[in-house]
Amino acid sequence: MELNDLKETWTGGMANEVKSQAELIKMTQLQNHPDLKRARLRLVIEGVILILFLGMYYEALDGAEKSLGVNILLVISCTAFVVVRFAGWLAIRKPIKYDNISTSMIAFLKELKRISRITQVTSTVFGLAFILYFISGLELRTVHYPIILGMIITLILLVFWSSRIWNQRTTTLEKILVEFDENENK
Amino acid sequence: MYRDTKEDQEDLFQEIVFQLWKSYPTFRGDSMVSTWMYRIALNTALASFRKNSVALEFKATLPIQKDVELEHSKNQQRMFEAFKKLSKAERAIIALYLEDYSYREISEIIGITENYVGVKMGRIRTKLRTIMNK
Repeated sequence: MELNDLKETWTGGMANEVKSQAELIKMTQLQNHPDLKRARLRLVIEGVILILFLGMYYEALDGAEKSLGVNILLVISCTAFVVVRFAGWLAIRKPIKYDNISTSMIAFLKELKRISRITQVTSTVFGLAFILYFISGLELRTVHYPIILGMIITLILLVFWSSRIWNQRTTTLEKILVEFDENENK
Repeated sequence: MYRDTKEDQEDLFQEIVFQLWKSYPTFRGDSMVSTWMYRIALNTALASFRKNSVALEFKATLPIQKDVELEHSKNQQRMFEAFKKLSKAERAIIALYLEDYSYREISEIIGITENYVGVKMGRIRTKLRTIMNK
């Protein structure tokens, strides 16, 4: 089959399904966007949980017995975590910014890498702040060590998992960009 | 050509409509509306991260098709299966070519040189011939 035959097959198969104006209008609304809707729901759930945590941790987790520095670190790192997640969500809402696909994707990839780095740093700092808060003011006994070790291992696994997901995303875009790069394909 | 199941295709279509709507205020009218729409659509498809899922559709009855339709749909299926063996970037180029865009227009939409579009098209042609003659 040659390209001209393909052209015939391609054009012959198009225009078989027409969307109504009402359907199209519905599709322009954020609450109907398949991926952003899911991401927004996740963001809202995370945000609510973390805001509740910030409101309650001081009473529930003996904030008064911990040092002021550790309390401040936990509040700042938790707030930064929520803010960065929200900023990331705002950034992925609009990947098309430039006149052609290559330039637009280069900018999007750059933005994605930046968000990825900030997200991973804030998540790690939040995790470490939480562990530090747990340890702070505690008279460490043998029974605490496995718990602390468990928390550290969980944090490492979460950071590793998160960096893997971000890497997969950026690698996919990089592969496409390499193909659009004339110098790489000589 | 970028999503396998009907549901995923609908989702991508919806993402594209959303992006077109959001990007319309930035449309300066330098190019034709259809060119601008293609740029947004392909950009959305290329930048989306959903993993390909296996297309499995069960229907209660067998579809009744005329011979001509059946032949056409077979050809279409072969064509899309062949496209899936191309890279995402190659799929974008072939889609524009099949929509009758010239090499110059493709080069403007993608952001590569006209000469390189020719090189890519040559490679795509060879690849498709190999895939479809298997």
